[in-house]
Amino acid sequence: MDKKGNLYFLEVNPLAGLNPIDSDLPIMCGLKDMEYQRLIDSIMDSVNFRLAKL
Amino acid sequence: MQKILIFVDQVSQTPTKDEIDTRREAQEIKNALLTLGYDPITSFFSLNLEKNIEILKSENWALVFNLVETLNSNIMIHIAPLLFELYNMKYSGGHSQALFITSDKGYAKKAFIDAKIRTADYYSKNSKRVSKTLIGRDVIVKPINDEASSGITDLSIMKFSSAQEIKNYIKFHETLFVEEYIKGKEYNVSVMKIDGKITVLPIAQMQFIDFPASKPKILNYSSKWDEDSFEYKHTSRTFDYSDSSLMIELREITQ
Repeated sequence: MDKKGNLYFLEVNPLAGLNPIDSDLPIMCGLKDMEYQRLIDSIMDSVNFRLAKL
Repeated sequence: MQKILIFVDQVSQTPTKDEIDTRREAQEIKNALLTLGYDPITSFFSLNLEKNIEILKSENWALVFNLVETLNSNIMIHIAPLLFELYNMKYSGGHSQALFITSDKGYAKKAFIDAKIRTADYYSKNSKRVSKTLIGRDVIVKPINDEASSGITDLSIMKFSSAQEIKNYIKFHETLFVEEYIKGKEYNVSVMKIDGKITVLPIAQMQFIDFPASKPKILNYSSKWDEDSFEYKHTSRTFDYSDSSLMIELREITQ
C-alpha cells in the first residue's frame, strides 16, 4: 500500500509454505484456531473434492 | 490405509536454507498425515520425467501431496501438477496453469492487469514500452522466476535515468524485471477453502523494526532465511490493525 492508501498486488503464491513454525499459512490458520493437523486434513479434504483435469 | 505420495524437490548437494526448510516441511506433513491415519511416503521429483512417472505408477496412490517448489529455479514447477493431471491423479496445491502463470512474475502481473487489479508498473523482456513511473526514481529489480525472495538484496533497489537505460539493462539481464518500488506498507494475504467456503485468513502486515533511514524496507533472502542477519532479526509480522476499512478492501479484492 502506498502513502496515498492505494493497494497494489505484487505476487501470488499458489503453493503456500506449510512449515508449522514459520510459514504464513499455518501461522494464519493458528490465529483462526485451526491447528496444523487440521490444516493438513483440510487440504486433504479439498483435494478429495477436486478431480485432476486434463 | 490410503497411500499418499509426498512429492518434494530433489535437494542440491549444497542445499540452501529454503531447500532445507522444504525438507523439514515434508517431514512435518508426513507426521501429520500419519496421525490422520494415512500411509505417507516421501519421494523426490526431478527433471527426469520417466523416473517421476515410474514413481507415480509404482503404487495405487490415493493422492499426491505436491511440495515441488523448485525445478530449474521456479521456471518449470508447473511440470509436476501437469504430470499429475496427465495421469489423472488427485493432488494438492495449484493447477499447472496457475503455477505456470504465477511462477513467471511478468505473466502474473499481466493476469492482475487483465483482472483490473492494480499492480506496480514493471518492465520485462516481454514488455512493449517502459512506463514513465520507472524512470528517475527508485525501482526494484527482481528475478522473474525465483521465489522465496531469492536474488533480492538491498542492491536490488536501483535507479535508471532513461527508458533506454532500462531496456539495455534488461537486454543483458533477461531473467530479471524492473518493478516500480512502492514505498509503503506490505501485507501478506492467505486464502483458503474452509468448510466449502473461500475464507480470507488473518492478514499479516510486515514490520521493519529500527531500519536505518537509508536501508530499503524490503523482504529479501536474508530476512527470510539468514537467522544471523540484521534483516532476519529486525523484521516480523503483525496481525493487529486499527485500519479495518483497509482490511475489508484487501479481503474483497482477494476473494
